[in-house]
Amino acid sequence: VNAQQLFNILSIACLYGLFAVGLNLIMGVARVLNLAQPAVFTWGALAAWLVISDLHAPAWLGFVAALAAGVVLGAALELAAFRPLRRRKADELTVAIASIGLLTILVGAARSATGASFLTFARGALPEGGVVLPGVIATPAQLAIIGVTLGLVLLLSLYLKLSANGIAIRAAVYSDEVAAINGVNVDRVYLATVIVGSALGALSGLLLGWSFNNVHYQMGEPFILRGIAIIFLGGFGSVPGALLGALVLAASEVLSVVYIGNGIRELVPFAMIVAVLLLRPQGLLPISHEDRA
Amino acid sequence: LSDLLDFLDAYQFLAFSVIILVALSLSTYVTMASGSLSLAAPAFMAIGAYSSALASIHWQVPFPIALLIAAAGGGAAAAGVAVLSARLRALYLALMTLAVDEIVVTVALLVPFTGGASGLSGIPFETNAGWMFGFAIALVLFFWRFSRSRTFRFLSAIRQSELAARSLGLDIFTARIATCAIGGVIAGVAGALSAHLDGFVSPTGFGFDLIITILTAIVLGGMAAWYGAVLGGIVVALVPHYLVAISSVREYVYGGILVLVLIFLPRGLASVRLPLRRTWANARSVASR
Repeated sequence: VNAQQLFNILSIACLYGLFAVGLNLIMGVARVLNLAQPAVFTWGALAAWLVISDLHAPAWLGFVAALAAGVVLGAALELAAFRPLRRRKADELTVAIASIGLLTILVGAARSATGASFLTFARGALPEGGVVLPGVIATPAQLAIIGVTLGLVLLLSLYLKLSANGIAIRAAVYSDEVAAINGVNVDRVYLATVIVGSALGALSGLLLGWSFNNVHYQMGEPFILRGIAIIFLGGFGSVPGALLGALVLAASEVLSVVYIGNGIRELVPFAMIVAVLLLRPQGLLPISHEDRA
Repeated sequence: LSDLLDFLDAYQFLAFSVIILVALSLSTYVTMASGSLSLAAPAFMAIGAYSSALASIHWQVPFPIALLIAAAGGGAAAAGVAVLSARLRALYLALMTLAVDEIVVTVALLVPFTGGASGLSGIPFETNAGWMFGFAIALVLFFWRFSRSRTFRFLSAIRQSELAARSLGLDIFTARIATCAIGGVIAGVAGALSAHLDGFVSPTGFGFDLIITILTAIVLGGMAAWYGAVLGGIVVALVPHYLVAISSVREYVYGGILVLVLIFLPRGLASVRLPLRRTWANARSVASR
């Protein structure tokens, strides 16, 4: 394994990590395994493509568009489905199945919008080429993935630890009833969490679309089981757990390609889900109830 | 009668696709009868399809033997998964079985003897209307008897409260494995029938899309009774037939059914009659007083 491969593992891990932190935030706080997250991911990339390549707007507006798509979809998912289901005391499995329905609808909408074609960003619309660092050659997209993920996760952790809203979120995780008695607007906490988690997912979609210069309605599909594998591995609801799980999955995938062969890569996330469920169902970094989120 | 036969002939392939989806819904329903939803029916269907196809192509076994091989393969694989996942419940079991399905599809793409992505062709065309309708009648008879059996009441007890069932001395481990094996046998036979109907098998047919279709069928039909799974399977199999003109509409319909039914009718279509029936029972008890 050389420095270039290690760097590639780091950038893949950060991309997976950004997606999985969003997923795990929603799982930990709102107790929803949001299987529609891969469609939000796709729509993040699509929104950016529409703004950058269709409307010829500058690249930074593409990032704004991806974030906006995440915010709008997150709010829609929570208000149209997760909140009514919570009101009716639906269990975790029922909500997860409903989110598969939302996934189906959003992927269908993405197919209608793109006509099922592969879209590429116009040449030069986003930074491309290679940046030579000591020992490795990085693409601008890889650097952005690493920078955005580490920066946002750090911000998110500080926000959850220090701000008044962060404390309210952690209180709602501990017990939504006790939090409500103490004046926390629990509905607003859930809404904010699903919005933030979806925005992270949409942003990771844009970053993947940028790094492969390819936007497609099915681009989220590989992330359905990868996301599940990562949050199982890291432990439900834990932000550091999601990052560790992403690192383990990315390393296993890259190393399996290096040492065994290309075909095996697709099996890694599934094998990981089975192994974690059978051997350590609580995940690598299980969190005591008080520390969730 | 000849009109009926003409009608069946014209709509034979539609009827076959309805029967296959109903079989897969029942295969999933039977795992839920003991309270644990398994999403791996497509995986066991694939195992049945490939095992009977390979046995027919390489060993020229007669079709009934190929069906038995498919049933044994699907049942054994399902029992194996059930033993491995005996400790898992609810969401965790559903996700584990989702991963099992993806593993089977990916392995079918990778190993040489399944023909990879291009699939297996040259499977003898053996499935005819007799086999298909025979399978459908066998399923209906089985579930009709099964839902009235003592075993089924054990399973319902487990579904309603595992703790209470265990304290009554019911063997939960064996019950789970038996229901999963029955589900695997049904899915395996369905796979063999569809492989020998099309003369062709490829991994793409057994992926996440099929799981969504099955989930839509059983969510729509509901978990209240086995005929819910039948009803859901029939409706969902007919949807693409009537909406084939506009491709994405199918996705909106399936997704919409999943979300709306779970919010507004969480026990599905099979539960709709229940209030009526209760009214009827009340009326009778009032009348007899």
